[in-house]
Amino acid sequence: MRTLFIVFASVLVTCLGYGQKFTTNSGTIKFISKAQLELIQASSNKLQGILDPATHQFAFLIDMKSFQGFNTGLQRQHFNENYIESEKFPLAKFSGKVIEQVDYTQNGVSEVRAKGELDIHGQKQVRIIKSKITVNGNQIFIEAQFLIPLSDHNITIPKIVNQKIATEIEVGVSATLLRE
Amino acid sequence: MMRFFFVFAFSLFSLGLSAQSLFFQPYYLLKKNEAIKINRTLQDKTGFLWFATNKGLFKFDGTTYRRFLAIDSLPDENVTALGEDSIGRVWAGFKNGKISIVDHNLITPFDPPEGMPKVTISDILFDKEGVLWFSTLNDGTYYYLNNRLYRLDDVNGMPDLFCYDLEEDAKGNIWVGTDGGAAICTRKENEVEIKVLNNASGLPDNIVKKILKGENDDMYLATEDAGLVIYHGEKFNSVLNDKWSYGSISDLLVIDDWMWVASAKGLLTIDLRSKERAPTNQLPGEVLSIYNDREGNVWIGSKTSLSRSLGKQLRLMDINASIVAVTSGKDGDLWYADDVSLYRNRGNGTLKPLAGTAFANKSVISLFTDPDGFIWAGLYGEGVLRIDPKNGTIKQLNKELRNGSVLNISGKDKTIWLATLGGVSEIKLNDNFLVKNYSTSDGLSTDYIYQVFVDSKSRVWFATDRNGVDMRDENGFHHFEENFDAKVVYGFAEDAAHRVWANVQDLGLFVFDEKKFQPFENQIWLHSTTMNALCSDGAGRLIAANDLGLDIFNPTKKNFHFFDEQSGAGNRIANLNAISKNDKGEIFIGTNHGLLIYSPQQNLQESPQVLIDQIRINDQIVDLTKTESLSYDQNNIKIDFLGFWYQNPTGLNFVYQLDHYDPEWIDTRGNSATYSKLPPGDYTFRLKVSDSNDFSNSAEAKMHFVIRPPFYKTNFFYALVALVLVVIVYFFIKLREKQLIAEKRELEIKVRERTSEIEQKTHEIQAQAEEIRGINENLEQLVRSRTAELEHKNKAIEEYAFINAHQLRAPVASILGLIHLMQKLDLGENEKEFLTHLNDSAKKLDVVVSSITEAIERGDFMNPPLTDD
Repeated sequence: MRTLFIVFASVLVTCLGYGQKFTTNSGTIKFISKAQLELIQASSNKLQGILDPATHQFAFLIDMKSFQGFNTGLQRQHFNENYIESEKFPLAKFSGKVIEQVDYTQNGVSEVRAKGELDIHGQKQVRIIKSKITVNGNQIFIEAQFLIPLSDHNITIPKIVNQKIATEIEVGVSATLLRE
Repeated sequence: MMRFFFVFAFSLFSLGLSAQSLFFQPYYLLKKNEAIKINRTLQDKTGFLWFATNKGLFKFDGTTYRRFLAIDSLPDENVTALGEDSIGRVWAGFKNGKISIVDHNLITPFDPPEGMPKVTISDILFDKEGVLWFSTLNDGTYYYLNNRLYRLDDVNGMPDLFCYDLEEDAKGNIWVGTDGGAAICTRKENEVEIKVLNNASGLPDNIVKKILKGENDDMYLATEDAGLVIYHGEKFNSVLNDKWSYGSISDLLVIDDWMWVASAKGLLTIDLRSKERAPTNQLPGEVLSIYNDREGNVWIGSKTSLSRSLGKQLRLMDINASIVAVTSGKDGDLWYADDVSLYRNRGNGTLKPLAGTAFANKSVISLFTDPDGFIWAGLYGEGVLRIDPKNGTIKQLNKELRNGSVLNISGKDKTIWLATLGGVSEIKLNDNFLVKNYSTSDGLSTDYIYQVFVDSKSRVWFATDRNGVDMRDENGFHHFEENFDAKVVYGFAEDAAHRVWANVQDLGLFVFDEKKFQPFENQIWLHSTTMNALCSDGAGRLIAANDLGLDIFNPTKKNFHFFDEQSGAGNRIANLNAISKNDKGEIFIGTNHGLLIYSPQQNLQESPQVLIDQIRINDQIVDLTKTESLSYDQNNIKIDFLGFWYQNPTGLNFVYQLDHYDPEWIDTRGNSATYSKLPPGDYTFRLKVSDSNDFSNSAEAKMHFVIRPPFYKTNFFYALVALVLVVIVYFFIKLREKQLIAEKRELEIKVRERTSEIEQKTHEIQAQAEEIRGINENLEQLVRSRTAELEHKNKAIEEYAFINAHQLRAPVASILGLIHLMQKLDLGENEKEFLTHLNDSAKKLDVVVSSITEAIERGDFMNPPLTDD
């Protein structure tokens, strides 16, 4: 997995050009499925990300197998094997460009929108995601909350459990990226 | 004799620009002269006009403005874009990047989860499939599909993030005007492909500020510096022949063959056929927005104010002279004459065609363009001139005419008719210009003729002074003066139904019913009965110019328009019969101060639009589109309504009727109808509006509602009551039946018991009867024996009594006799006493014997009383 990220990051860095970029390997991503009969939560603190302040381009990725939590071990197994198909689609990615201009040299908080391609379960969707970027010296803190409709990413839920899994998953991301 | 004048040098000297003026009426959204920037204008489906300004959003109905500000939840008072969705909600975009939805005066934010940009919304568009698009200044273009917002930017191929304008082409592609050219967005599902037209494609300027769809897949592109281009067949062509010098363009509009341009240097109009600037004045000052409403008004928003123009419908040609005759040449030049001279206006200048000729000082009092394009000018006392507009050649006809004062010229095909002070002259357009004069001696009723008119059936009509109407057809002259009291007839016109109309002095219009002229039944809707000029346009509408303005009406549809002072027509008085029509149906009217030009427009809303605005029930606003069923106590109803007629908003009249309640239509100039304590029922409120009081062809708005009866008066309730009654009766019957069955059973038991008792008694009785019968039988036997015994005893007694009676009587009688004898004896006292006692006893014995005898005689001894023994 680490190798994958290195490949991904190196491709991205090539695209972005060289410069002082912000990166993280330990961002937190969590999701909540609020269904009629069950609340499922899981999170991972292995979110990897990179943001180029010069071009405002960014890329984030997460190893889908790194999600922990769930209500049961079987649930986690189903998540990886039946829904996300982690063997086939091990990574979820979101890469694109921050729409708003942010001065990364000045400390402060900015409400921005990140436009990019969200790739989950092998299905890509162009999304605009509202985010908050807090610049604090050589690090930036990124927060975002958004919804992911399962239908967007061709994730089908068997009817038998459709009251236990929400059709839209609430996702929260928080990551501190350090200037390289 | 004909005299020919040939002008070797067709001396044309320019008298300077005499442009046609559009009339502009100012509107004050705020206090008069308080500057306001009108960014965008929109007319919604109901008829309201919306103005996006830098000082709030305005909603206008023709008389009243409603202003929306921050206090009304407007996110920014600088409104920069407007759009309307398929269900009639107005969407407003703001400088701060927000978008709000206005629905029934309530403002709600458009707040997609993706967030909104923070830069100016420059345009809002709903495409044919209902997808929302909006463009921004420096944040690209967005579209909102299936509840998700998508952004089109450089990553997607958008040439620049500065997007000024959106326009949908005939194929459903969305064109975006940007700083990097025009982006053509083709959407398939949620994917958009972008094709860019820019310098490399031949676009003269990459900054495209405005895009407008034209006819036949044409797209007009307005650029920042290079002016207007039309894109057709993958080629760009300039819209204007001349080099563009009017600065950047912020809005465009095409009405018929005119393009209206809001430019940095003001409003200008371009004739799309000639690619020249239309001969109109220019509204100075930077114009930001132009909008064409459904009535044909053009709303012009500038950096400081708002104004309305009737557009091409009514133009003025400001000439500081009284124009007595006018005609439009085949080449589009306008020929007109005042008391002094004849003029020819070419748009870019005015010439004097007769200058330098022998007729330079002659007064032209009538003008006509014949089918060959020659201009005919009638002179006062000098006959008529035929002018070749191409080379200025003039031919005069005077002596051939019976009278040289030519008041009016008309013609058809190869014949010209002149109305003169001495009858009528007919000129054949052949080599010899054969003239034939008609006067009273030929059948005319007078020689003073105001106008000659040739109708579509080739009948020639003569408007006479004080003698009514003369007409000549293949059968000769006919005279009509019935109904005309004044009998001064000024002129004629023919409508679309080929009916001939006469303009009669002080009496107004009369229409010919093929027998005689009848007064126009709707004369009352015309603003004056004294008309100076009458003509019909290409669509058969009649145009009557009077001292107050122009009455324009469609006799077939009964639509009436009036262009008054507010339209710019009212302060000009038409000169008698100074009217003409060109091949395009445009009407030119000579007035005491220049010319009025009326151009009929197609596909316009011809009558006011009507709207039932809101319903108040018991003083609460209720949306009857959501529920039209009201409870019995929701029966105090106030209906507010509006009429939209921006060209004459104060002249609106309404009629309304509540079906099943109002017996007839109720007319009002107000804007509401109130109904109190309406009984339960099914109602339809009908509303019509008109600016003439003639409602026969007016638009009608309807609203249906039902007031339900109270529960206790509903059929359901009646049915329920009936059902309850039935149930009660049923249960009563059932109960009674049950009771009866029980009683029956009880009775049966009793009957059985009684029967059993009776049977028992019967048995007893039978036994007793048997016994009695036995007893009877014994008794009978006993009786018989007793009777026999008694009979025996009786017989013995009878014998005894007989013996006693008969055998005792004799001794008794003897005793008595003896006693009697003894009494006669002298006896002592004792013996006498003994004898007396003996006599008494003997008598008693005699009585006894007698009674026994009587008893025996009566038979008493035959049935002696029964005794036990």
